Amino acid sequence: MPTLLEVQQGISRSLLGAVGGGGDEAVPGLGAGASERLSIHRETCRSTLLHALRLAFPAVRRLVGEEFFAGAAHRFIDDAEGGIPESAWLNEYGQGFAPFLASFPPAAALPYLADVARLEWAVNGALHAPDAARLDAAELASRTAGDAEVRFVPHPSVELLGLEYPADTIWRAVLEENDAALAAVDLASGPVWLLIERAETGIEVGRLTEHAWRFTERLCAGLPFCVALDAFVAGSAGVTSRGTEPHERAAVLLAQHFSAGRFIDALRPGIPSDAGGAQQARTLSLPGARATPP
Amino acid sequence: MSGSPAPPEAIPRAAGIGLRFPHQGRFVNERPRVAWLEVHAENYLGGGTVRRGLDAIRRDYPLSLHGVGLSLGSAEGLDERHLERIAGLVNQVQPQLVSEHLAWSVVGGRYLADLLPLPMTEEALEVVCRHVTQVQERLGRRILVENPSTYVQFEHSTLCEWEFLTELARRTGCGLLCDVNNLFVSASNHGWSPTAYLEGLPAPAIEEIHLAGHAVRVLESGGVLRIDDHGSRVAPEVWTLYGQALRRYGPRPTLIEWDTDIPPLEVLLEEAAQAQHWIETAGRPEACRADAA
Repeated sequence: MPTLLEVQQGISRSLLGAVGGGGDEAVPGLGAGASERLSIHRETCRSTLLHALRLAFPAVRRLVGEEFFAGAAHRFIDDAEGGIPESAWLNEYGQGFAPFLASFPPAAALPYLADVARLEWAVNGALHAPDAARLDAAELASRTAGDAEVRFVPHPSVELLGLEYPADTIWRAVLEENDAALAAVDLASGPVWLLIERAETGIEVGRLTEHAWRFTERLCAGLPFCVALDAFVAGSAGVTSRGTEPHERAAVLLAQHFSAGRFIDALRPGIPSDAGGAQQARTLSLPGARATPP
Repeated sequence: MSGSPAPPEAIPRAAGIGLRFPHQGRFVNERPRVAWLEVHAENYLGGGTVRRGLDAIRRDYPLSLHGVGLSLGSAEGLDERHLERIAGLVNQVQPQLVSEHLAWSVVGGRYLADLLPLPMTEEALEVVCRHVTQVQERLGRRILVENPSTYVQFEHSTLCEWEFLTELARRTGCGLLCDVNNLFVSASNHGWSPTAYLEGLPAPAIEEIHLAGHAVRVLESGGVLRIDDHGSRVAPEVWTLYGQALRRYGPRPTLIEWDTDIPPLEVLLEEAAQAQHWIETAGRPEACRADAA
């Protein structure tokens, strides 16, 4: 008598095997005639995964058309790394689709397609990220208490993406069905540095300069503020921006992140996060913060 | 009180509908009249406006959370991360009912995106009992387990489905969700008596009934297979069987499910009104006489 595990492994092989291939192998405990009946499950599995990909990648789907999309999705499901989800939370499914498209020969004529898919994956992540209480700018500033070692915790919906092609412009034009905007896209305009987030009003996709993006990325990666700031200042050589000092520009960026609610906490070495500075309400002064030893 | 839902009271013994995304906005904004709603738990594991919509719905309607991904029958154990997510949602939303399926979907760390059939063996029964107990302990509450719609039967099965479910309820204390459409589909596909199935389930454990449409497919071998696709109105034979279920189990919260080719909300409300009519009339003496005739 087959064990339950042997039955489940057999059904898995039958469902995931190539059409006309593994599906014909008898499943332990089922007669040889079961494959047509099992194919009902195979169809449901594939159509559920196709549907999940269609929901996550609407712009890719419009760019390539329904038929091409379904063909690519089925190849992804059947053959690719990540083609079968690891969990029942299907909003997490599809991370491997952009890398798959990047090396999918039939899509080679659309070199920007994988970047659009990367953007849609980030949008999907921002859309379904868990909620987290956002600290207002004053509270966040007070929690940093002028500590240069402070590390920021980004809101779970914040995603940062550097892409070779202007995928944000393409994505917007495709979803708005704006053919004129699509025709005006300059594929050779150079890389774009994107910040994707879930705001109160919906998903926002914004561009940063590469310099600002790298600073933001270091902050979101949880590096100490002083480390991100040093890199920003070092990278400022040759970057001219309205004649302002790099420290001032970093302060402006940080204030923008604070007021947009992109950080949900500020962690200081040795100090519990919820013991933050409600009582010691000091505002952060960036150059001062750097100058003040912890 | 804002943000924290009222403590769970019972789901009314009336007709509700399965809420899917195309209709969520209407329930948040217009609050159409329906006795209660059920949603798929896996659709609400993230945050943002979708999740806020569920909070609004929970304030305005009795709510059931129906899981499709816990994979209670997985030989290799439950996905703890998934159970934690579900537990977090249940804790926040405090739904009146929580239910899952007698099925499995995960093997080798891969989610096969369908409710797959279990052999009806003592080994499978022990696995499902262990997992139902694990879920009930983690959630701190009873769950309901739904009878499956199946297309295959295992040669080594030693129990029939209703014996398996009855024993599951007895050993774990879980309730049962009797999906009358599934019951009809399985009975038709395997040549079982749907009445024997209905009679075989323990009436006091049945806390909810599901109704949905199904499709009919002719196999290459010439046989007919009924497929539980939730893509049409409830079939006449299923309404009749539902009447029998109400007479046997008494009035129960009854849900209209529709998942593919989702129609306008009005169609779902019509189906729910029909179920409501059955609930109100099935227990009457003339209906019982008709059943006996």
